[in-house]
Amino acid sequence: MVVAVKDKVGKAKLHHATNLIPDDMVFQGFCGSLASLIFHNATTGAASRALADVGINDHFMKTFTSMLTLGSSALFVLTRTPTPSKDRLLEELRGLGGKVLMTSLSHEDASRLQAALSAPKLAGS
Amino acid sequence: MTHGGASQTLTSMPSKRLRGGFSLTSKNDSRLTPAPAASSAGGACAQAAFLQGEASFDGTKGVHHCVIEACRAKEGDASLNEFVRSGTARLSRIPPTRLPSSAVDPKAANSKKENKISNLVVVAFDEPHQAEEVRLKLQKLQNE
Repeated sequence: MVVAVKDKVGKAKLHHATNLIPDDMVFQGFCGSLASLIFHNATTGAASRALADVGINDHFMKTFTSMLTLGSSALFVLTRTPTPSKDRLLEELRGLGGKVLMTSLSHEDASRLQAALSAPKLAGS
Repeated sequence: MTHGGASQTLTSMPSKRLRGGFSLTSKNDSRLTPAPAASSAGGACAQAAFLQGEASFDGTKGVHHCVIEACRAKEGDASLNEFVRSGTARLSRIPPTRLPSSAVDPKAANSKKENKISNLVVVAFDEPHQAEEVRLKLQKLQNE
């Protein structure tokens, strides 16, 4: 999971996740998609390598981020399938905003994810 | 400690994936049943099945046979080793010709990998801090 930020002057920066989560604590699935992130060795480097393994290296992420508007950010997530906790995940992501720019999820899952992100926040949440 | 010349305990094996194949034979022993889903296989084989192996039961001989294709170091290993040491279960190397198709056939192995294929999701946000917020939220979900 990598966070990319394009600052106000147009410079793209990447922030690699640094949490240490063992594999067996990771959800399976599309939740996998977001929560079941691939931390092969549960390290930052592993997350980057996992992304690089599917062709998403730092260069690509920086180039991609440079095309965003000033003062925006992007989240690169590599996930597993399938998941038992899709609904819980979508609920948590509801109303957070954001646009799914690229995904290898099925059209249905991508639509559900986008709908959740774009949905208005629930009162009290 | 182990049965037979070719036998060995799981701890002496490679930590992530076994080379070749190993067969595990045991008499039914309820103490070995680790998970309800695997209990039908019974005994040590259930334990092995739990560790991503394949198990079957030979009713005529009253023993369980299984082939452990992959074994990861988990809590279950310790108890499985205990049974191997005590003689309840026997773990021995088997020739590649007797391995299940998925262990020797690259296509079958690939199809298993495809089931675990990962998905990429890239989400863009209007604010520079939003992506980090979402990442933290996902991390929190992971921890739960």
